[in-house]
Amino acid sequence: MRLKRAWLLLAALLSLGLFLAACEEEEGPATPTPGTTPGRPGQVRTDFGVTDTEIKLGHTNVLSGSLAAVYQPVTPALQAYFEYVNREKGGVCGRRITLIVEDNQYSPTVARERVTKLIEQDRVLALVGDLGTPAVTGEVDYVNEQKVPLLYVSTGASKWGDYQRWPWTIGFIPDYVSEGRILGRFAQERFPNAKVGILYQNDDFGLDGRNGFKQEFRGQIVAEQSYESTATDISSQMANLRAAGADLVYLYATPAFSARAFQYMQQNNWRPQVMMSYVNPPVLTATLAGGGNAQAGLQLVQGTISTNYLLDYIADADKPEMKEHVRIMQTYGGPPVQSLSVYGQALAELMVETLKRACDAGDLTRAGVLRAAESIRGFRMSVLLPGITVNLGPRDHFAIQALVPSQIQPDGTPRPLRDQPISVE
Amino acid sequence: MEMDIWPFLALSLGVSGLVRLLPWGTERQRVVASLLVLLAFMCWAPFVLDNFRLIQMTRIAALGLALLGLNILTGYNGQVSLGHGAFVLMGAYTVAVLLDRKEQLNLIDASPWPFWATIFVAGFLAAAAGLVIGVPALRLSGPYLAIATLAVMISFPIIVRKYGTFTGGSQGIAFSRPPTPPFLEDLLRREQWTYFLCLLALLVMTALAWNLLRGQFGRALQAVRDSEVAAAAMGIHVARVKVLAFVISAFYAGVAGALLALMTGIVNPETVDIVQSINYLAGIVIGGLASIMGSIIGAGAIVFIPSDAANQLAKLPFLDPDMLRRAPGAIQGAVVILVMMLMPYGVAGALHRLARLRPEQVLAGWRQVPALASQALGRLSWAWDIRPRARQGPGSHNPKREVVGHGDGGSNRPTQDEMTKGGQ
Amino acid sequence: MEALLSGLLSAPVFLAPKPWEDWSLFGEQVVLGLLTGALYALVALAIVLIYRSTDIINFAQSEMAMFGTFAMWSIWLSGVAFFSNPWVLLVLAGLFGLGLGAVVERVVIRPVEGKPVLTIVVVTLGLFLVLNSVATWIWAQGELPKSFPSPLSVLDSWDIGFASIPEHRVLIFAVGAGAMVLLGLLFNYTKVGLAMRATAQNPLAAQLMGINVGNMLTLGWALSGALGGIAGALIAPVVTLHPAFMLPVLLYSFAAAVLGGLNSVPGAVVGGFIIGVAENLLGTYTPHAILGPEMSLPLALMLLVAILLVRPTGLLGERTVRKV
Repeated sequence: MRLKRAWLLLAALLSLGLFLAACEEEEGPATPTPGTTPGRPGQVRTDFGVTDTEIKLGHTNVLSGSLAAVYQPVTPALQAYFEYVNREKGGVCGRRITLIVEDNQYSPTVARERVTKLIEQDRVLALVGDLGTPAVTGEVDYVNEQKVPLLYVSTGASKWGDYQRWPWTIGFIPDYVSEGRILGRFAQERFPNAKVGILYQNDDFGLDGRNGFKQEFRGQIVAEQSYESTATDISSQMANLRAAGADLVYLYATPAFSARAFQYMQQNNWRPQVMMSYVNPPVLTATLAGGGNAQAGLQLVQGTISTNYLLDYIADADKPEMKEHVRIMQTYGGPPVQSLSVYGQALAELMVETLKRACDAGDLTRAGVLRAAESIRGFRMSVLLPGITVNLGPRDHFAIQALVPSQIQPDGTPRPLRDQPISVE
Repeated sequence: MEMDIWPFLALSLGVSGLVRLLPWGTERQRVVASLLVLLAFMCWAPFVLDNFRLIQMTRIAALGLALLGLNILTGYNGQVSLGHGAFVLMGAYTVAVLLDRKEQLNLIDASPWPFWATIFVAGFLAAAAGLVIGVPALRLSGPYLAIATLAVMISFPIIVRKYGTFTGGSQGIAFSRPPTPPFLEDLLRREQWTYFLCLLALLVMTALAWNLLRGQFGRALQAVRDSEVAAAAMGIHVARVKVLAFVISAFYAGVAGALLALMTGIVNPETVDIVQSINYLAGIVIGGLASIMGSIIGAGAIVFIPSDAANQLAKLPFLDPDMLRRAPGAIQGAVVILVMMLMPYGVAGALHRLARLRPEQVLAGWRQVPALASQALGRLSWAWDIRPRARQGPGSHNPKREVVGHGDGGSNRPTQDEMTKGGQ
Repeated sequence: MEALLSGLLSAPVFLAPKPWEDWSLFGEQVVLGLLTGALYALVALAIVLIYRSTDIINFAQSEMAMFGTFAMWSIWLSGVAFFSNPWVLLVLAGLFGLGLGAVVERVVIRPVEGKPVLTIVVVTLGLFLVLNSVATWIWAQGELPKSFPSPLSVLDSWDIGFASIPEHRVLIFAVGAGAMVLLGLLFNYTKVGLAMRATAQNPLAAQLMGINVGNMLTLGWALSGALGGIAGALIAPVVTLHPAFMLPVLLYSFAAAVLGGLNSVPGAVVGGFIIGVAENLLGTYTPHAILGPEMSLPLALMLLVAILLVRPTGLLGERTVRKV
């Protein structure tokens, strides 16, 4: 009996040994102490995540484990732009920016866990561009309790602008309710007598877009159809819209499904006016609709009314800003250039601007960063469309809230339908 | 004193293992003492771990309950469910609705309930759902039951979104988490308090399960699993046992969901998604079927493999950290496959067999290493294998029909009592 | 009473389109349901194939198909003229799937062969993670989703009066029908098919009868991989290509295979059609306020469970007799 047990005893001793070995390794993590560190432009106050050489930022994104991992290129794009700032601009405030990335798995529980690591183990200065509405929903209360700036949240839910509930949170992209309202207002202006058929994705994104549209559009809505994001086919829904006699289709869907909607229209020779969300880059949607043939797809997509706030990586490829974007992404290990990489750069530029302002004010503390963000007025990132600027304030926690309605041309470029963006601020 | 989780776990498991194994007292005293030591370490954990690791431990405690429930159903009773996420979600939603201050559910009462009561309500509601599903489940078996339960899991979030008046729709419900009780306020941070709450729940529910499973009911569960006809012939009411297994299992899952909700203070349809629900099954198979310890180990695997597998491996010199960063799932999947190859009866099964090995057997095995290695190489090489091989030892039954076996078919197959007690 | 009933049914909550108000819409919904069902049937056939030959459910089926389809996508973009022909890609997808299935069985499944079924199922879950993650790493850094070429046009369609059928969908129908016939012949009229079935039911007895069990298992995985690969290359042009494009199809196909009976080849096809049509009709003709399109999937799944309760081994599945 005792001999048998000797082996387990050995195992127990082994694990104790492991413990001792691990203990020697752990020489206590260097915790940045609050205080004042000399910065190049005079004295800069710091508290968390800032040393003489480094600014630590945190970021969570959906990197694995879910159907929603399609947004992961945002992360390497952010990293590439920060790397560009570090190498070519000498960092911000004389310090390198380091981005610590965690995978939130699109789950509120996991996100809450990972963001705790970022705040309490890594002691980041601020969180930037966290992605995934359910995930950020899980983080937001805790992050605000800890008084950590949760800047430029990359989800289109409309609640992030609620500065009273979450004073440390600032939203970034035009939220889907706002976009729906902008499109609804535009439809009311131009097509007041249309018979509208709505197709939306049955989740946060699609429901927000539908509700926003219905807030502003007062005309006739003949049918509303929805699909699950896991659906394989949406022809049935399209058939119902057609049978209801819709002549304006409001498509609040992601590119794969929008493309299928256009395919259905072509197959059935049905030509309603289409309005769709900015999450559908025109050329991508057209390529998908054409089954890989962009030219055939553009025949279907042209004339569609959409909105935008970012440059289009295909239509605007000749602009110097877009060439610079391509260079940064290729030089500093970014993802292949795409809408999400453009998006990532816009996010990173705004974050760099925020840090610069905090540095100029001599206050690189968490509170200082929030104040710096709230001080931004009329700032333009290089990859934004003309006329769109970032305006923030203590009572305005949404970075971008204006969109330019535009019509897609046969060559895939959007032609603005108004000189000024429509804003719902 | 601050410690990372790995040294802490090594220390606590090492010390409690020593207490268990050193030659003193009677067998019973050693078992009880080692469990008490382990408990003492778990109570010490919140004061040495940082919040991130503490939250992970809390999640393991909550998930451990869900997996224990699933194990009662699948491991002990042989009914495979892929839809236990639905019961967990249901428990989470129950708590959220009852604690929500807004008038989400005017039907009951606008004032929030005491949080401890909501845990029970969550458990009982889930158990009722378990009854509703368990009765028709009597007709189904094997993959048919698995897919039918998966259908329930797929439908649940869609139903939640559709009837948003009660459930907050796709936005979910945010509620204020229960504060630390006044008499503990000076002693404990909120994370520590939540941890103790979950630990207490885990302790109580594990003790209940242990008590239930080692007795007549536990034997009935397994008799039904191994052969319904034989069980019926022995006078076991097969239908009643199977439905009860579903009900109890759902109760555990509901309580687990309640605890998960209390941890974050937010519940939405993504709190448990389809993939996670399927992962619960992977968790109990990795941890060990028909084993209480295995359920908790499985919860540990679900929490730690995604958070640590890639990070720890990135420290190895020959792996590209960039690859690990962009493909964390590859490492997680590889770990799962390797664990199943090395320990086909789960970690608990492997530990158990390890404990029963005699030194001379180990020595004999050691002498076989060269032969085994060449055999393994032979398997990996692409030679089209035409030798007919004996795949099973003599006297074993046909393992292909064994859905949830927990022995190796050989002579030193552990009995159930031994597995739950952790060896003699 | 009748008045009360009709009054109740005309209440706004219960407002729903009725089939008899627009028969051509009804016809279109049925046809569209059959078209979607054909997608499910294709993958369901692969599920049935592997279940009949190895007795397990393969969760990595979807990711093996996805991986193969992405590989074909790379070949397509390679610029070699021969590979730009979608028909060639379709054949290659089948061959790639065949090879991948065999490799997976030999390397990943063989070490756990003979272990409890659930252990093998969890290994396929691990494989799911690996393939999904590696595919994301290799192919999915750029803009998603990608488009995948189809042998026949996805835009041109045949007009049959009340509905239009895209040419590509006709091809899916044809391939599905062909696969069903071939599999039926394989399992029922060939020695290999018989050996595969015997292997799945009782490996020990099969071995004693002189069947090489290992090769039969590899063959089962390889064939199912080939069918899955072809299915992936046919489905990708419809739902567009990204790392998660096959998982939803797989879930639907599980439902289809179970509905038809996991060991029945025609059952898989019938199951796919029923799921496809039921989802469309339930989404269209149930009251929109309380059910409607948002609830079409849960309703179709409820129908699945209801049918299973009447026929626990699926519509066309054989009851297996269990000896004590």
